[in-house]
Amino acid sequence: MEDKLLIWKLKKGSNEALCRIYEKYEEHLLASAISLLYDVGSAEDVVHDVFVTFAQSADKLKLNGNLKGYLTRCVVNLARDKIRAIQRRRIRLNEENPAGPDIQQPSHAVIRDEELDRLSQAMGSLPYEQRETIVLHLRGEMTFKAIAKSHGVSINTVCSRYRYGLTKLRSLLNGEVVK
Amino acid sequence: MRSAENIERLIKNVRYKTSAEMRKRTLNDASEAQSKSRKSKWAAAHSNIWRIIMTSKITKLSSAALIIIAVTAGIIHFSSSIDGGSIVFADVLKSIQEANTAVWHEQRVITCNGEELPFLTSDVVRYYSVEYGAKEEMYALKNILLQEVYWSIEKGARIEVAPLWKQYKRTEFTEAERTVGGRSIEAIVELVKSEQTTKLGSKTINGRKAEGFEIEDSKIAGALVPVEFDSLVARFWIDVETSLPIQYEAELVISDRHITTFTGGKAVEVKVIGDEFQWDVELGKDIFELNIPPDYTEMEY
Repeated sequence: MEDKLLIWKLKKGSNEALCRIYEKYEEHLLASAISLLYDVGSAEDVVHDVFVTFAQSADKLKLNGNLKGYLTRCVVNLARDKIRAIQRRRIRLNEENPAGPDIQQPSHAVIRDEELDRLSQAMGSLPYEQRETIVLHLRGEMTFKAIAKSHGVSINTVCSRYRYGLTKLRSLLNGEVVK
Repeated sequence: MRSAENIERLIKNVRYKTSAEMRKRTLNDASEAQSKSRKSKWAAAHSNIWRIIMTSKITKLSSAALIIIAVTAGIIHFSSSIDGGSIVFADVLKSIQEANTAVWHEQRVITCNGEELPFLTSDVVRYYSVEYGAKEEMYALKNILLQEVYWSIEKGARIEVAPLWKQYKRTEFTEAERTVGGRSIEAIVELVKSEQTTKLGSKTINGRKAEGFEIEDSKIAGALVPVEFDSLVARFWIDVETSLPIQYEAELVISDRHITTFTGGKAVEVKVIGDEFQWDVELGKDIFELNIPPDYTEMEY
């Protein structure tokens, strides 16, 4: 109920509603972004950009599901763009300076929470599609069907990505050797 | 050893705190983006509204506008107490008091000679608390906060705040307001015994079965609103299962001189629809706390 009221007020231009939404979901969204990017600075930038865009276009907002899921999907989309930008930059740098720094792995600003750090490290070792599927399903509360539709792939592909990702995470977090 | 479920739970629930610096920057940038977006839309969509207002003798307009608002506000303030003192009415009151709090939406459309007065058409968020009183936030022109009204049990007064005109008005509760806000079921039942109500039968609203009641030219409304009205018809729809209001509609015709000054001597019709009720929700005291900025002046009417 509160989210419905907050969105209603936000559409009327309430700054109080905007701040309340930020306070309510910032920790959740930041952890989602860190899970995807394994880099606190980049993750904070993503959450920042999501909220600024959200504030700019609030009056056009049309929610099909819940607000938390919507904001998580925004974070996932922006994180994906960021990853692609990093990859493009890596290719350019490698072309210009083959002995330059390797930024294939995201730079790790210090993650202070041990559990999140371990989780982020494990998540970081998954292929991005698996990582994204896990975040969208578990944190964005999207069904496999909805993820399949938004990514233009079959539901079987989405289920496989989720299952493989989770199996690998389980092995990593339990300290097992992963091939 | 973590199970798959355990890992799913961990991923689902993990939280991470933003640094204070980043938090401040995000809130500032988002607020600025919101403000810029709002200003540009306002300018594009309503460039002629300010001209209309400025050429309409601002003081009279604000007074008239606020009286119209007060009329509708007054009507709805007592909206939760209609059924002519029957058992159902008492059940409704009891359910409302047990619910403690409510939030709902209200739309008000004001017309003159069949023409809508667009700058007075408004959306309202209404808050109700048995403990603190009531409050409404009235938005006109889609996103402008035109007025806030507080019915404060603590202060025993109705306080209207008009941010657009930087004005406020404090009025001691009338006897009727005090009774309605005073949380005494018996007193309210006594007050509405004289009302003539007509049963409207039942209908389904948003999947809920509701029973309707209609009143005409209510005496309580006369006691609650600050201007005279020519006629009033109000319909209330009560959820059969919960005995709580689920929707209401009201139509008033007003030719009070304050209003007719504003519309060139012509009466106005006010249509009100209240819906999207949420009962027994968590409402903090801060929602009902009044903070009038020091540069606000008292209204003159």
